[in-house]
Amino acid sequence: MTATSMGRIAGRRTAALTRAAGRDPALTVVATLCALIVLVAVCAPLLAPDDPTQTDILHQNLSASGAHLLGTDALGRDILSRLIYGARLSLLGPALVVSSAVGIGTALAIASAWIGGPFDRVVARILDVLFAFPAILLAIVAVAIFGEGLAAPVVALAIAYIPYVARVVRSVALRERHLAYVDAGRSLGFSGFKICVRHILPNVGLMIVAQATIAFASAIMDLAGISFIGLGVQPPASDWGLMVSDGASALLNDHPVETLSAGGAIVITVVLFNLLGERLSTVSEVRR
Amino acid sequence: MTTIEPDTSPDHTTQAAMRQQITARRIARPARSAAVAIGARLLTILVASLLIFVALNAAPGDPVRAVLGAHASQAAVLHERHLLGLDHPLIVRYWDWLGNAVHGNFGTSLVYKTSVGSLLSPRVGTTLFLVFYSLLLTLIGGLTIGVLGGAIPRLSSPTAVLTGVFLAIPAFVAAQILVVIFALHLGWFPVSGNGVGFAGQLRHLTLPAISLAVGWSAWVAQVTRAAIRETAALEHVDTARGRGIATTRLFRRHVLRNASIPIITVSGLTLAALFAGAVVVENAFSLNGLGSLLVSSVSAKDYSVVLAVSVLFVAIFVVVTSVIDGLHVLLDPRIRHGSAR
Repeated sequence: MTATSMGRIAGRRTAALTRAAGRDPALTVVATLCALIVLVAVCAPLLAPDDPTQTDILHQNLSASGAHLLGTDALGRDILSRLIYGARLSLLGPALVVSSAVGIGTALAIASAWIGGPFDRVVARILDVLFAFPAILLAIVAVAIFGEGLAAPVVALAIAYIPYVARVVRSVALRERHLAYVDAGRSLGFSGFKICVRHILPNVGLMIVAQATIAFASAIMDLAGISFIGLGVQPPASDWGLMVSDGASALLNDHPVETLSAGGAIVITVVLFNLLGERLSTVSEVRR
Repeated sequence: MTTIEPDTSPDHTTQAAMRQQITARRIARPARSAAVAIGARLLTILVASLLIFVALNAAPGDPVRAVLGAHASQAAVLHERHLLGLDHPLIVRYWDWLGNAVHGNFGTSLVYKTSVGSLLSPRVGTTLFLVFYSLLLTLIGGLTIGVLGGAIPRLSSPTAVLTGVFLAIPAFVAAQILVVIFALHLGWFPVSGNGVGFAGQLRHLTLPAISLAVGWSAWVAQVTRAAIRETAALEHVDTARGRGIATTRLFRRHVLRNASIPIITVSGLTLAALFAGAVVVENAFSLNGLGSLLVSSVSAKDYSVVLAVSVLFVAIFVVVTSVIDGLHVLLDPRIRHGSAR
């Protein structure tokens, strides 16, 4: 297959996606909002009104005002700026979790659907065992081994998410395997690897993206929870989960803004990415 | 009839004996597969405990030195290591640990200087109370919303929106919102702590239980709603409706009964997930349970406690998921008779 024809097919796929978005205005709206959140994280230095780590002992726990739109926290730091900067680690961690889980899970699932036999059974058995353990416990044990910080929970969650990805991708890949184009590829003398990577993978691609989006939303909740209990992101760095726990003592003294705004940021982001994932998976179902 | 052993000939086997044989085989097959399943589950716990044991021991940093402080003499460190049995090879230590653990002895805490068992026993109750309290709330809330959303078309979209939002609220965020409303403003419930006696515990654990239930009841509701809608669309339901069966009876006998299997699976998985969720929520409300013990021990590098609590959690998950599988076999005749595909 030449580069131009590959390009043409990719173009056709993008066009199909654009058409689906045109038919489904909700998808466009949700996708735009998700992109905005990512943009806020990327452009944090441009958007944040203040330095998120600048403490100010004279202006602690201020209420919202013109100078500080969401007020200040217990150390006098601008809450809005911390919220904007907090988006970075709150999204970076889950992005790393999902990209590695999806990469490994997809490779494992397609290989397992293609090879079949004992390999398929062994993989399925291992994934079943892994499936039984909640991600957050795996992450806590990983922190016990490798120490606090974002790295250990990210690796642990990536492993814990593999079975979720692999299960779905395997069932779809199995279905694709029996379609005519796979036989056609074989009779043209293509290698199994080439058929998997060049032909099956692009056909299940949108479905994988949909799964990854939903996994991303749940990784946001899991990692925020780990930061909340003090085992994830360590100060002076911060994410939304840590902000919820940082603001907990101010919350008891009638200054709930830090905790509730960080909590709200988590909820809104998770809702949006869940919706995006659901919409994308509907589109990928319609297309087949 | 020339054969000496009448039993080998079908002619001589009475109907009753044949039936008995068939029944015996019917029981034997599930019994054998149950034994295999239990063996596999035990093996899972064993492998998990070995992995956690080896990984914790391979962790960078010396826990003994961490506890004694950087200025402790080499002799003191060696003495402490010897007392704790840390100078033996890894596999020997695992074998010793396993032998003791089977008898309920999980070693000594490096930080608290007491047996791990004495740390666990007062905390188990709190965690179990919290988990089953929130399971009750999760099932009441989730099933009510799910059944209403699945059975009444008008409520379908509102429940979908509600569960979509609730599903996105992490338990520790729900905890803060509940504290602001019900503890600080209304003063109905305390902000933190365990409480004494059944009534005290019930009062203290209500907000933690609700914060856990928010997200999981949304999940139960979604699965219930989907299961009911899917079953209601099946042909046998149409047939029953065509036969003139009353709506309530139709719903109870033909829809709910078939939808019950995924609902039970989800309830069981929720129970397992609530134990994991308890780890975070116990910290949010400063409860003295297994989860908060696990987190504080991770921070303090108190490895014998981390090992005991995490293996305990693994055992709980394995037991809960096995019970769900067992219930499947009991409830679904298609699995029981091996015809399920």
